[in-house]
Amino acid sequence: MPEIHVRNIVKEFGDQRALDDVSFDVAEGELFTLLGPSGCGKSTTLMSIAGFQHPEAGRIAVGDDTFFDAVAKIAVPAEQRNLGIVFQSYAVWPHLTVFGNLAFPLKVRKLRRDAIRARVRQVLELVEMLPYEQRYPHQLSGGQQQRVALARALVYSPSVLLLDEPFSNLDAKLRERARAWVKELQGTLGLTTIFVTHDQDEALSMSDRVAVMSAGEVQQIGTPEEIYRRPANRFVAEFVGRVNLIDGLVSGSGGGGVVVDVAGSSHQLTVNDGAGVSGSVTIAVRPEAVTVMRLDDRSVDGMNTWEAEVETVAFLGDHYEYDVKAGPLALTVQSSRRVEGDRIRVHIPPDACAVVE
Amino acid sequence: MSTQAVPVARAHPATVSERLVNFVSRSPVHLVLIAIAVIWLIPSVGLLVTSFRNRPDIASSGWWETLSNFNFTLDNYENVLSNQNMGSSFLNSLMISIPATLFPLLIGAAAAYAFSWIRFPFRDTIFLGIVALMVIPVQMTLVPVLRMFRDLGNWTTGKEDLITGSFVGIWIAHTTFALPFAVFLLRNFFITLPRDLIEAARVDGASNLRIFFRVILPLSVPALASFGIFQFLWVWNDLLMALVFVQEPDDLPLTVRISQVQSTYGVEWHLLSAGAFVLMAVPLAVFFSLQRYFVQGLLAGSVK
Repeated sequence: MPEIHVRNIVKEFGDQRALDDVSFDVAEGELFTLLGPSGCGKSTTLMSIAGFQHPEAGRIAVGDDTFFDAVAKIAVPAEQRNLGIVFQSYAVWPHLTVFGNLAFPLKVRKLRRDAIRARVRQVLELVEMLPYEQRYPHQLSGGQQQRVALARALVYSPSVLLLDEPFSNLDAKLRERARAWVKELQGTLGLTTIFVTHDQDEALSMSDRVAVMSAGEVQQIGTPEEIYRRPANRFVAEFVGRVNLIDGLVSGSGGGGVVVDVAGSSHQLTVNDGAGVSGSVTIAVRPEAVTVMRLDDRSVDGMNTWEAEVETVAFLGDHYEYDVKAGPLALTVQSSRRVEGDRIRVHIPPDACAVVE
Repeated sequence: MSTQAVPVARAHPATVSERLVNFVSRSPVHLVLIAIAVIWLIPSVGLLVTSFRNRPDIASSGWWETLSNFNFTLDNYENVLSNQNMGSSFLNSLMISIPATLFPLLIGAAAAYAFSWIRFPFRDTIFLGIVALMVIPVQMTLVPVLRMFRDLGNWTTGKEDLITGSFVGIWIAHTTFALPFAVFLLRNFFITLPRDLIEAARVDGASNLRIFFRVILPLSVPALASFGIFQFLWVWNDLLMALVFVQEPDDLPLTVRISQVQSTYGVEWHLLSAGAFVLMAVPLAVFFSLQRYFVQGLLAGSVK
């Protein structure tokens, strides 16, 4: 299984720049996710790799094969790229049976009849759809159609698998199962895979690495942990998970971090990140990283520990969600502990703070 | 295919009085519709009845009088099919109509595929040009096309009637005149097919030819059938182009033959009416066997 290189891709629709200098590499056997809101260019990127969009500039290569090179004027047609794609709509052909759908790409490749039969059965077994071989797509459920679509993408052993929001048409329960199942299958086959989604849970739970995109640009590339814990900028922090953003001014530094005067209050926030930055900054803190405790609880004290007014508390099953105000600073806190009282104390661990701007 | 009619769920009337109310409230509409249908059908029924009456009866009394004076005969049909060359004309009509339906269907579909799913320079401009061709009246082109056929025959083999002396001339004429509409209708249907279905085939390595035959055509049966019916009925009922482009007497289709019956012996009502029903039989059969596609196809590309 080869690796994928995407270099400086620029794509324009009219005077709109859909992709602005997009670059990334996907390692062999890796599950790489393009994550972003709709219109961020993630699907355009995928379709450029597939060969349905021709960028204005840049280079796309899979292994040693250059699929696209604007300078060298190379653009391999989609049908010659030997990629497997699962479309958002599945795009299972309604006039063919499950077998017919899977046999189609093999017939294109002029395999012998018995070889086609054997291969189709093998792949159907892999996706656990063998009993449905002779069914038509309208006789299948959404989840089953999705498996057929995946099987069709795998049947001719593609060099790379591209998944375009394959789970968005499934209901929540089924989606979770499908995720686990696809992830496992991808790992077993060792397929280099690019996965496009707008769902951050999906991206975080499935990916080896994630590229967060916005407005046609890659905002950050990293492992799910890096993306979540150390967002590179305000957009990534806000898009992936929930976040408290605290504005302030750097007043001191040391120990691999900085001390920030929180804007509009007398609080000082010690941050174990952003060594060397100065001026005004924004700090991102995840709601579940903040600790809440009773006013008389002194188990944690000192830096980053403030008194706060509880505005609302909501019980959400596996945790409580607090909206609190520490002076002028509004914070959302998630905690498994229920702390009684209108006034409590909150603590922000310096390690949980990330400088995003 | 997802175009199957979904039965409208309607609560069944529970009581007799409820059923009565339903019937009365709907009956004005039904009565009007029935009346219109009857009025439209009267001439056809008259023609049908006439075709089964013998010549003196037709001359002496109206067809509605058969209701009191029952005297039917099959002689007219026998006469028409055996003596008036109608039998061979019937075959000629088929020989003309079937190829003149299949050619524009295949060529038009291939062109429509290109106009909807292949990118090439000036695609939409050319498409507009083809659509614009629909406004040209057939009558205006009869003479120039006929001369073209003659010149082509002269130029290639020295035989003037090379093209018009066989079915080839009328096939070409009908095909070319049908193409703009075929391209227009089919392109507008093809463009509504989900892009993913076509791109999926492309990713799987399929060429345009394979996508066209294996994905587009099977998915477009309603549109193809509706154009096919249109075109078949048009060619089958055509008199004008057959008069001009079929010059070999043995090749004449039914329409021309029936018009000749009328003129050679004055108005032979008994033969004319029987001939008309022979002519109508095929369109009726075609329409009724394919009507479910026809209704789907009329909506082709309009709502989706």
